[in-house]
Amino acid sequence: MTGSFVIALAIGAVITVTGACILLFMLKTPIAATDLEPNVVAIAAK
Amino acid sequence: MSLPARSARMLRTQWIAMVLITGAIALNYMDRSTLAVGNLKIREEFGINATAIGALQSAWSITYAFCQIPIGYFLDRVGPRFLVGVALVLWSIAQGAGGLAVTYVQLLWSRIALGAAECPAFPAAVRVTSDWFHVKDRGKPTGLYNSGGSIGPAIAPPLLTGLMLTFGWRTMFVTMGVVGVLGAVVWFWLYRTPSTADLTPDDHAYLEHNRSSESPVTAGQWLRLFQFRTVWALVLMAFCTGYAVWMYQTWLPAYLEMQQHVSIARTGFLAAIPLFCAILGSWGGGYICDWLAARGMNLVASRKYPSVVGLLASGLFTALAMTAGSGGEAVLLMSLAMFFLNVGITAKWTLITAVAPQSYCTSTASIQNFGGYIGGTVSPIATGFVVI
Repeated sequence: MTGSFVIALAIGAVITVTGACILLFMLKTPIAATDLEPNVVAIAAK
Repeated sequence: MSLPARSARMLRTQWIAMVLITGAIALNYMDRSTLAVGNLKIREEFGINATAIGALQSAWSITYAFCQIPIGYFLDRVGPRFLVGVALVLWSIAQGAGGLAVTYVQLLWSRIALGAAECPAFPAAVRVTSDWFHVKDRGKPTGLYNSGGSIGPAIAPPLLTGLMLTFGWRTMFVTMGVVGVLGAVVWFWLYRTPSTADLTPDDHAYLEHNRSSESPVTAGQWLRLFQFRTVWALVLMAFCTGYAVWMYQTWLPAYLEMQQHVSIARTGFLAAIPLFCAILGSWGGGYICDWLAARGMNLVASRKYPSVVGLLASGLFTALAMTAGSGGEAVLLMSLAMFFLNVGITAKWTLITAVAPQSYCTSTASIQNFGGYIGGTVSPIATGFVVI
């Protein structure tokens, strides 16, 4: 039974590092307001 | 470019808002903990096994996860002052109702209601932060509210256990419900929105960037968020961080007792240390984000890289914890893992308000938090499957 905790921690470590990699390589650019709402610039200027 | 100076009144109002939402989140986590604290007594009284208790927890977490998706949309329409206040009352009623349950099914429904009513807490904290702070200043307040998720679990076991041993588990449930209703009264009494607060022209200039949040998104615009790779990156990353957080929060005491042969009495003390390190990690992560932005680093980079480094370091210390030879060594390594994990998580919450347009911060936050709670639902089950 005690060895299983080692596997659980290994899975936790891999998933945490995967989260870092997802953020590093998948998140490149902010979402542009104009892509979601073309008239956002006009609204913000009011 | 330096930001306009804020008046003392503005600073006070900003931090009162943050302390209130942090308190609401801590209370939110304490209410969740009542089931774990009352576990054995509830099983005894209802004649149910551990699996049935697990089902109560799963019912809560699945409801909480799925309610995350639309809540940002509603939050943007009614605002945090109304929604958090009402949610506090509703989740406190659900919490108290659990203490009055006569059958298992009634207890199950009370946990489902708790999951649904508690769901606005974190997205609302994003909205409060993005309403009250300039985008470059959101790290420290984010660190504060994120620490609420560690403050609650850190103080809940001694406080709730004392309450239960003195008055019984039912009184513990009802007391937490009453505390929540009182919390709602304090929230309505003290929380101000920027549009109703008495601010100076400089304060208004400081908040000018946040004004677009006054126009809530439409359903069509909200749906469009799912087309962006950035949103999916946040959802997947939140799944990973949610998995890690709940692995530690659910299994740490059992790990210390079963793997490191620490006594139950010492486990209570040792298991609290990583939670305190998580609080420090939340505050530190927020400070680092704002420090980097103030020194001219690109806004997205000043949030993204602390998050990446925090998660990599957390993964490293989690891997090192596999080699721990004693309870003390394991707690040290896991405390470092929790510290860096919370640096990463705080930076991630701050990142949301840097990559999403102002009007979409809350919706983006709630969508990604869905990923976090799916990870948080899978983690205890997967870890339990591996361990047992």
